Amino acid sequence: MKDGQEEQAGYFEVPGAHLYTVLHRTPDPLARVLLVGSFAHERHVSWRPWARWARYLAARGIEVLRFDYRGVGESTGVFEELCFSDWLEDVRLLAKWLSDRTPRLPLLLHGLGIGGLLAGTCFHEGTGDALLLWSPASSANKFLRAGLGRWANLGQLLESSSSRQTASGLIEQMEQGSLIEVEGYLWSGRLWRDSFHFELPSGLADNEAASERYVKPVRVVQLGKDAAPLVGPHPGFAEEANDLSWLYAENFAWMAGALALPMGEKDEARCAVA
Amino acid sequence: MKRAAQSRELIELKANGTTVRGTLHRAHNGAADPGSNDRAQGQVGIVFLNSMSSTRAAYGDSAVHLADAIAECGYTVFRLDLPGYGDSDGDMPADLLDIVNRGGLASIAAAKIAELASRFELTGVILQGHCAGAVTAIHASRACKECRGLILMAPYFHLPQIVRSKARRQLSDWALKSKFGGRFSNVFDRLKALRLKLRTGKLPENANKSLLDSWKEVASTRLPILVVVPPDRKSTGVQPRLGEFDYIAHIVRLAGPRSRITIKAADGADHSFSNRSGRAAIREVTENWLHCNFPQKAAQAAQSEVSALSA
Repeated sequence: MKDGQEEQAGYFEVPGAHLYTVLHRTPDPLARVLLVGSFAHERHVSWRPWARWARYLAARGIEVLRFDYRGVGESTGVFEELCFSDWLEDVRLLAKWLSDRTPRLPLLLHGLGIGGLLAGTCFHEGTGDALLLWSPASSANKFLRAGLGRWANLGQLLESSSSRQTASGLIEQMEQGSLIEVEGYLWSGRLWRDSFHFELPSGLADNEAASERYVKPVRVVQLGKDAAPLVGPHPGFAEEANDLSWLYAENFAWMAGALALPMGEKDEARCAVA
Repeated sequence: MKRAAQSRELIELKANGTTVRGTLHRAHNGAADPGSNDRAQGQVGIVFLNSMSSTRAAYGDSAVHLADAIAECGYTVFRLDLPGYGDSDGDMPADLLDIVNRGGLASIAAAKIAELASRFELTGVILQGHCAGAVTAIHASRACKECRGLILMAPYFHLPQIVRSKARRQLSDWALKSKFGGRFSNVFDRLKALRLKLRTGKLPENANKSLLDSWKEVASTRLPILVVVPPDRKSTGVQPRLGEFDYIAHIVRLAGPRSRITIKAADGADHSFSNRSGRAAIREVTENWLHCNFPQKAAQAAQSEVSALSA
């Protein structure tokens, strides 16, 4: 890490909880980025490449804020009492905090997976100067269903025949008000019901739709297996060491163009050192 | 942004140019004011080391829940991201599991624990590790003069195959999913049991001998050690699955008669201890063991408060 750059971990107060945040500070920043990450059960696999991306950007003069949603990871709050409305509020509050920082700089929202849906929603409401989405979830409910399907399949392998459950059985339990366990998190009926209200704005389905709908720059990227473990499948821990510098370079180049960053000699030298 | 929230505080250990980040869970002692760092003074601290999950929160945030629970009963807990993990410096190497099994994280863990103990004026530390974290904890305890005890969750003493072949994975899936596959698996287990019997108690070829050496050295010093074992799908209690070497019995023998090892089964727990039954089981077992082996003022106060509330 170069002089003047630092990573400040902290807690940001939101109603009923504190969000764990890491601010990647850089001297004389050119822009700011809010990273809106993956959902609870995907957090532990995507965390390191997400943090590396934040460091990559900070080394190129972008101030970055990443965080844990309420009730997840290092943030406080009780997961089973929360739902997508609360997590959208987290994104709104952090985006406001970041955009209010001085000096005023362009703000880009960048979402991954379900974070893409939340960042996209926030952008659609008018927040931010540009938007980057990596494999955004098209609907919160479809996203939960896919997670449940994987979990139920895993149960078929690991549970005894008497305690195996199907995805539809688990959904029924939630609908009846019971909590169900999915990869260490308790999913509630409220979470399930709330998920029906969260769809990715139609203008963000792909780059073509986005260019027609928005004046501000938007990029939608569907990540492939070569971007694991940012996105699934996650067959092995060794993938953690995957070199994603190609992905970072490509997206930073787009970001620099989209935000018209003044990449002068000084900044090129800064990138070269990083 | 604040450094502390509710009963937690974010910490950084920066000595020797390597920044390790972590979370402190303050011991609850019944006072209204959660207080500051000096709450840890003169206490034993419990230090969680990373498993193979890439962050200090661990799979399903299981480490966060356990740390909160232990702090609630009066102990100060630190969860650390060792270099290459979570928010700490460094990159995670592709051969991390090999490095962990060889004890490659022991020296950096011991150095950071010494820094932690000095900064928070701890009288000593209890190292806690789950799975690969338990391996690091055993190796690190040899080099860590502050170590007063070990909590080992689902430890393993062999050298696991990192990536299984596709054919092997498919065979396992078939054995798990189909009725016939299940029968085949049972026959396979019996054959393995026969092979094990013929070997007359010899260590399996893939035993982690350097880890067992570290274990023998540490456990024979009368260091209090808690070993918590989640049930295997095809066994009960702390017994291994049919045909598998009984490492738990072996480590008890290695430790000798004067050792202070407590072996407990965590009924209902999955391997990660992130399911509800697993969380409850590990919480109960750990709290009881801590109260027995490391009674502390704050812990006693927390216990009295709980008793008063329930009276």
